[in-house]
Amino acid sequence: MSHTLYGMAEPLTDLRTPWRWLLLAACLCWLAFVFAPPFVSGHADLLRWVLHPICHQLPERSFHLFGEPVGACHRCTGLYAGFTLGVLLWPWMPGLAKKLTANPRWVALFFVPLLVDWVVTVNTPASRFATGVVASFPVAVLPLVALVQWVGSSQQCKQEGVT
Amino acid sequence: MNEKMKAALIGGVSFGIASALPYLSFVNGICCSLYIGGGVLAAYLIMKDLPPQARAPYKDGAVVGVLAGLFGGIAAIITSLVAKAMGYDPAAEMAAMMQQFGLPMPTEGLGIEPTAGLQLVNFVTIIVFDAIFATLGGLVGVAIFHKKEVEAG
Repeated sequence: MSHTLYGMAEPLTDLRTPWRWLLLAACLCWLAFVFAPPFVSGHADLLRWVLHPICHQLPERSFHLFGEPVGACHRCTGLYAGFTLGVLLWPWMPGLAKKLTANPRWVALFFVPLLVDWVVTVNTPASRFATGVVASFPVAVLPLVALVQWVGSSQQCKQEGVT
Repeated sequence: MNEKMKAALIGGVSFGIASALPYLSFVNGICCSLYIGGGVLAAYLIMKDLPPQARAPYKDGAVVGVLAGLFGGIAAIITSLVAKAMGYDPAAEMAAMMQQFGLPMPTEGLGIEPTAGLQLVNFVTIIVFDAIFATLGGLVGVAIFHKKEVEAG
């Protein structure tokens, strides 16, 4: 069964391109890297140091496993988890994907809870994580559409080369 | 130089420099905003003169985002080296700021002596991370700045 994302002059077919598995694998590797420090006690500092350019890594604002903080804060962990979940689930939600790709600016709206949570001083680990998930889940549809466009254009190039 | 390359250079280099400047660099602590911002700016620059299209060019957004990230990473490294040569110590500044706001110190640098090899790893990761997040910025930028074609009739 092929799902088509309408609302465009050319229908964009099926987000279930095989390349999405590569993207999903990359996301899972990233998550594994973030959660790795507590499991490699000898190299935990080194792993966190590698990730330090992209997150403040405050221990009080990070999840702990076995008493060790992971490599990113609650909010960043939520962003990475939401994005990974999005890459996994969007291809199976063609109706919602169709609506979102027809109105792509809605993606920005999902960042509002994260910004509110960031601005208010009283937030919790759960709120920071949850608003991160909510913000990044819709963003994951965009690289999937880009992959479909990329596969489509390379197939078109091949066909034009043949004919 | 084509338009995509020019947009990527402007977006990447401007935000790359910002991500290595004193105080401004801390904005990157908010979910890599500066890396993402470079991609968004690059996407805006390629989208602003495009006529309304039925299909948002996410592929182009991703390409311009990757390029912006690569340029931005290199710009950030050069800027940080220049800043360091001028006596700016980001770790000390971070510690002072955390103390000022009564915040706990991050684990950054705990037990790590940045040797030349580690510094090289740091430079490579900065470029890779900048490329990843700027690509997402490029995609989000296309989503925001895409002008939809109005259907006739």
